[in-house]
Amino acid sequence: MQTQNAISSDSAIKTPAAIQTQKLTKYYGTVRGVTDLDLEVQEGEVFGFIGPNGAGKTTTIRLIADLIRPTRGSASVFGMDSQAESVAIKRLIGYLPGELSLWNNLTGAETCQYLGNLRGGVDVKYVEELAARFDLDLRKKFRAYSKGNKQKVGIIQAFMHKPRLLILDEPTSGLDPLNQQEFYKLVAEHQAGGATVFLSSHIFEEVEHTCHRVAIIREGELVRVATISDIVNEKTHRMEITFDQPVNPDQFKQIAGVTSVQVGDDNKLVVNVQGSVAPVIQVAAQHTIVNLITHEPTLEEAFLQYYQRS
Amino acid sequence: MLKTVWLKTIRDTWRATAAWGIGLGLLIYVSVALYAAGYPTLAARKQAMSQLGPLLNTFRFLIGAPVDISTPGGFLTFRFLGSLPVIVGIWAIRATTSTRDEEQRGIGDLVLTTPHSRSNVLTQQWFGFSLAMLAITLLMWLVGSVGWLATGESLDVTALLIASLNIGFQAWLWGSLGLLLAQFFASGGAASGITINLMLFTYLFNNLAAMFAWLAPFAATSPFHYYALNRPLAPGWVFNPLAFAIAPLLTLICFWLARFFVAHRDVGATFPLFGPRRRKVSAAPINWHDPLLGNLFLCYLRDMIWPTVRWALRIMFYVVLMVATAGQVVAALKNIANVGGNGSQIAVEIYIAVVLVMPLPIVTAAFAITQVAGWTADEENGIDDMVLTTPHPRWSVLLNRFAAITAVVIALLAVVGLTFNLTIILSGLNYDVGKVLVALMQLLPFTMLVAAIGFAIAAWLKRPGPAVVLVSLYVVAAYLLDLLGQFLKLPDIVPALNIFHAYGNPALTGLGAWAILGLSVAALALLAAAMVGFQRRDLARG
Repeated sequence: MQTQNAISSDSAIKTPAAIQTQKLTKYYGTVRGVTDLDLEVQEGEVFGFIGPNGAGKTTTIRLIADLIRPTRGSASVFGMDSQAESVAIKRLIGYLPGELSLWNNLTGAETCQYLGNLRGGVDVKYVEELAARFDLDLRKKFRAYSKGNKQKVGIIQAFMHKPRLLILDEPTSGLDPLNQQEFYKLVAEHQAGGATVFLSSHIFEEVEHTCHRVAIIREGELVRVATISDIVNEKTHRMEITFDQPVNPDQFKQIAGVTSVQVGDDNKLVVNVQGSVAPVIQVAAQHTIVNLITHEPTLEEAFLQYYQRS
Repeated sequence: MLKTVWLKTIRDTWRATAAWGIGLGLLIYVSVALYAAGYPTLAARKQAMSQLGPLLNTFRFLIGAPVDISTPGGFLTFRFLGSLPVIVGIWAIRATTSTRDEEQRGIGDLVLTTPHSRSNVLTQQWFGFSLAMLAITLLMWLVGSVGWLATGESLDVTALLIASLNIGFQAWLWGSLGLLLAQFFASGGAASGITINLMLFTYLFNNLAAMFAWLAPFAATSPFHYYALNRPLAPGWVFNPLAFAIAPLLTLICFWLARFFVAHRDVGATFPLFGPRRRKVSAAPINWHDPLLGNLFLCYLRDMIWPTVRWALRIMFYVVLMVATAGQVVAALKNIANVGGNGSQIAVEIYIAVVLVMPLPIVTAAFAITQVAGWTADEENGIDDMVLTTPHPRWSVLLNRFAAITAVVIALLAVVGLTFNLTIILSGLNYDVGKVLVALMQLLPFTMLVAAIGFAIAAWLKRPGPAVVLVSLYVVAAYLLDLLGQFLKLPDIVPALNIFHAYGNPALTGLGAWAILGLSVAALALLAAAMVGFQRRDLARG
């Protein structure tokens, strides 16, 4: 039994952005939530949304889901205004909140059944399949589940109706590594089926493995929207080059991508370069190199650069 | 205030402590002031006593042994002091059993991983609670004394202190018993529900034992028996130190038992009275077609069924008790009514109206407030986040909830009506049951209006939680104003805004079509306001 909001075969037809925000701003009294957020998530992509605690990730998600209302600006989902067409939007989405609260007196099965009924019907076999994949006993009351198992119920209810857009706020929180892997597979399957996934996360590897593009939010403002490969290429490499004789550092400062050059002892230059290191090596090769050490930062360090910039 | 566990307990409860202490003190002041205004001369007071004396004896099962009301202290004892320990006791029970809920939320795990033993933490929590009870008692005495003296009436300050301590000790006992019983229940709600029921039962039992000779030997099993032995404000009172000491003694026993049990059970679990229990998970196939999970209305109804059944059972118990005791009191009422041939019927009508019908609005209002509390808790706890990301507009979610409440209120009133009919038939009383049915019918819009007030406040506040306190305050204030309004010279607008005044007393005056219409229109208007407010504001959580 496929739901009415299941992914249709004509989803390949060009449609409006899955999520679009324009100058989206939210203040809680005088406290900043998010400011002038311009974001566009294309249909069919897995979009990562990352940022430090309190940056405004959950606020953005709750604005898109119309759980809170913007101070100014707007958000739309598949071209529909998040407030004016809230109900129509919710026929298309699966939602997993960052802090999951469900009915303590209902079992996992009852929770899925109830939310399934509210959404207009669900394929029971698919629910059971998902429960089996995550090794979850659906007959237990929600209050009796461990933290990880509660999260599994949350994941199942978000995916069970095969929604066109999945909005997931820190979805692997509390999951063990095996179930995290299962979750990544599930995201990939749904994405392959045409679904769009908007995923907020603190785990950089998770974003790297699952997302096509990523938005970094800090202090309520978007600081970067890029593909994962762009972020990777933008990594700042630290190169320590030792020559047989002194070399003019200005030669390196003029190279595109070089952010700083420091002169060290024993004819050593420390060159920080963003993106490809090839131009630096080409210039260095004009001299006699005694030693060359390259420090490549992790993806986490690359992200942290954005987190820490003020 | 965050240096120790007991200081943290005081920090958590100081607002409620201050409100209770000052509120009870003001109640003493208002009561004495009203008495002084209503009966300004000794002659008027003696006359009141001669008129009301037989009535006091008749209703002793509700208000305790009769007392001379020709003094302000006597009047206060008759009007409030009999039942005040029950009211303060409810707060005390809630305060102590709520620690169990904190434990269930995992807060206990955190506190108990600091270098403090379980029994030490429980001791500190209980000590903080005890200080709060002491503060309530002293505030009540202090504010009450100042207010009393301000009326110009003479006051025995020591007697008022002993009366306040007597009330405080009872509430302290019931709070401590709640703490003890909480060691055997997984949730604070269950522990407080059982303790409150036990308190109400022993209160009624003690009063009934004063009426029925065969119950008298068992009266000493109720803590209220010892409470009632000391009525310091009643004329001619003689101090009974042993009775005065019973409640503190029982309190200490409860505390020490709770301390023992908490040290011998798992954190987050109950004390295994009958050995370790294995949690069983049903092996039966999952039922994927539960009809009560079919839509919002039915699921809300599903959640409300058992709490409503518990409320219905309590009310039914009360109805049966009142009708069963009717035979004894009717004779006395007949004399008071002082009528001829149909005196019995009039006596029964007065009895039913006063004892059965008059308390019902406050009971159903309390039920409506619990429903408002459930609604606001769903939003604060994030449950509404899940419901409102399904394709249902907010107004529809609210409307479904309200409709479900309406359905259970109708069921509750129907069960009460049926119980009343059956018990009247079985008791052989000569009473026109239609009058109570009319009163119950009028209760529907009244109860829904209370719920609608709560929903409307919740919808227009930034956070819905305080709506429960606000609607509770309104109901209590409206009830007291309706009760004492005859003594007050209030502007006309005040009774007009009072839901209890609007409800009236249909068991005596008959169906009030305008009252039903007015209450219904007000409820619908507030429901509409709630829908608009809920539709437009941010959803709160956490």
